Amino acid sequence: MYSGDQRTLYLDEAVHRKAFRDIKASSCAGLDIHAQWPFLLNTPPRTFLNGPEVPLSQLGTDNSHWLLKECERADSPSNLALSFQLPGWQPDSQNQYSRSQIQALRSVYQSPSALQRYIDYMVKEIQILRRTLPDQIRLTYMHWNGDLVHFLSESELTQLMFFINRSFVGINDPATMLVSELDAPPKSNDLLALLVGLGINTICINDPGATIYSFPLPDVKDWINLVRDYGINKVLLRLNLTDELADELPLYIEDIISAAPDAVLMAKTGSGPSAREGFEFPPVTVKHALLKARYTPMTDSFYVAQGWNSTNSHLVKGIGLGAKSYTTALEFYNTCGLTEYYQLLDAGKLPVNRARKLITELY
Amino acid sequence: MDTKRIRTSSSFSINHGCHECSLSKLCIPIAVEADDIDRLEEIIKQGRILSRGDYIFEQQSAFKSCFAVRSGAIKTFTVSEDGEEQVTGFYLPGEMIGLDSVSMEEYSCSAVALERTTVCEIPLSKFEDLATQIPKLQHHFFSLMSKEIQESRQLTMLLSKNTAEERIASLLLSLSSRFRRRKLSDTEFKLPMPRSDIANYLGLAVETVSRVLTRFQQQNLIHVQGRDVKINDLEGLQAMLKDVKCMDHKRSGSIA
Repeated sequence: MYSGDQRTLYLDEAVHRKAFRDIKASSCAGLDIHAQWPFLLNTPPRTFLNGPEVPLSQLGTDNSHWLLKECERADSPSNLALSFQLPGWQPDSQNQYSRSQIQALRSVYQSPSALQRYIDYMVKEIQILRRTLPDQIRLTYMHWNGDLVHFLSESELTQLMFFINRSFVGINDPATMLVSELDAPPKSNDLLALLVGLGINTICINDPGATIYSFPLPDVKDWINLVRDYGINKVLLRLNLTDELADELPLYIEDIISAAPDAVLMAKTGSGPSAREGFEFPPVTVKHALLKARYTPMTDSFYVAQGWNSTNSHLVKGIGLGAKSYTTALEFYNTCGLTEYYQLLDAGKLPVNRARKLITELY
Repeated sequence: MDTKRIRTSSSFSINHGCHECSLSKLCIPIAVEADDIDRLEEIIKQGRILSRGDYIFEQQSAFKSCFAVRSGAIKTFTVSEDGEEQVTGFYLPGEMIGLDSVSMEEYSCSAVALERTTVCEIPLSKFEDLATQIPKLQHHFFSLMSKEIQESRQLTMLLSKNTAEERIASLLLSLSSRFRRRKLSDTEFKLPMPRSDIANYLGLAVETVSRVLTRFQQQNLIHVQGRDVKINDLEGLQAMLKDVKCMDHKRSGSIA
């Protein structure tokens, strides 16, 4: 797992992107898989060579023991990574986090109490997972997506962490990474206080300047400093390099670097080249500024130096509607149908509805 | 002829149920429909009386219950291996103690009565069972827990970043807002704790606390006589909390 002990610059280069053109997580429309923090921070394979879809009957999903068998086949990971998300939706990114979008999301679940119901079922999924996995498994990584943090109330976030804490050992271990994304400035400092109080020790500030609701680029430095003042160990930054941002970012990059984010992930929405003629990804000035500030490119040698190889196996389990999970041998998805999600959990089963065998090349 | 059973109760009875409790709008019953308050009353042990210095629970003893303060005042503290006491919070009527230990097997701190105090004991296992049946109750419980967590972290921020004046102003404002919540005067109240506990809590020397209170009095922000405090200039106290990190304190004085 990424230790965060050195500053890094992750360049979304072709060596990583070409194998993943077809993989798009439902909750991160348009972003390459490597631009998603749970993947990056948890033993990312060099390449997923996608095999055929595996019929669920072959996995034996009548009960949840198939996951245990898969774990045993994948070198019996003793480490568990959990990633939490709200249902994937495809908002107009310019309207992200507007009141109307929040209302629309809530209305999808018919009422605010329906969102609470969704959380209750995520808790159920955690509890079924706990019963399925070996007793000795330790939680070494937990991830909250940005939408979760912004849509859930403080009470709901507390409830979620309460049941995670109850279900898995390792959460209070200082080495455990408890990560929360922030896609927009918190409504009040109380959210930061709560996240820290719940044990979050790593914050990912995502895509500043991307929408009108994102962290404004001129304020990123202050936000990084404020997050650190609250006692967060690591602050990571993702820069989603749209064409518009490519013009603005060089004006603020020195300021942002002076706040010393622990890692900078540079990603680009979409898979095609920029429409702008002569555009170089990433912008040269930004790249030079990061290299000058001694940020290290995360290339193959970086991964090797981290000690990632095929024997470092995690189970990365996504929790929630449509969530993606993987071991070294299998990639599987939770169902995207809300009713089916609830029904499977009520039946005591993990809510998986498709799986694909993988041949992974690890570092 | 039907006769009605007349239920008499003294207004001074300590065995008021949740129905009659004056704090019901602040405490757990706020989350419960009238029909369900009876179920709540069945699990809550009401009316335990404590004298000043009595322990409600001790650090590292087995965790069983949270407690709602019904009257009086309570301080929580931890004791280090060296025997040094560190005050971690003050709790007034309508507030709950023990929430920080809910996911642990032992109490993380001790709680002691600062004056004659009554508490209601809420055994957690029974409460959790009931909460699964009453979603609003569960939501309220986690809401209380999140507030406790936030206030604890905001206090840490306050102690690490702010001057003695700002810390004391923040505490006075916190007490003011908590008395206001109970529909009591927010400008005239009695400090429930001695200056030594205030100093310990805010990480200051006792002399510093006394000096700052005197300074506030000279500036006509407050008037202090013993433990009686009269806030003359509430806005003036709020203006002292200039730091943007403490914006929420400025608004509501939200540290415990």
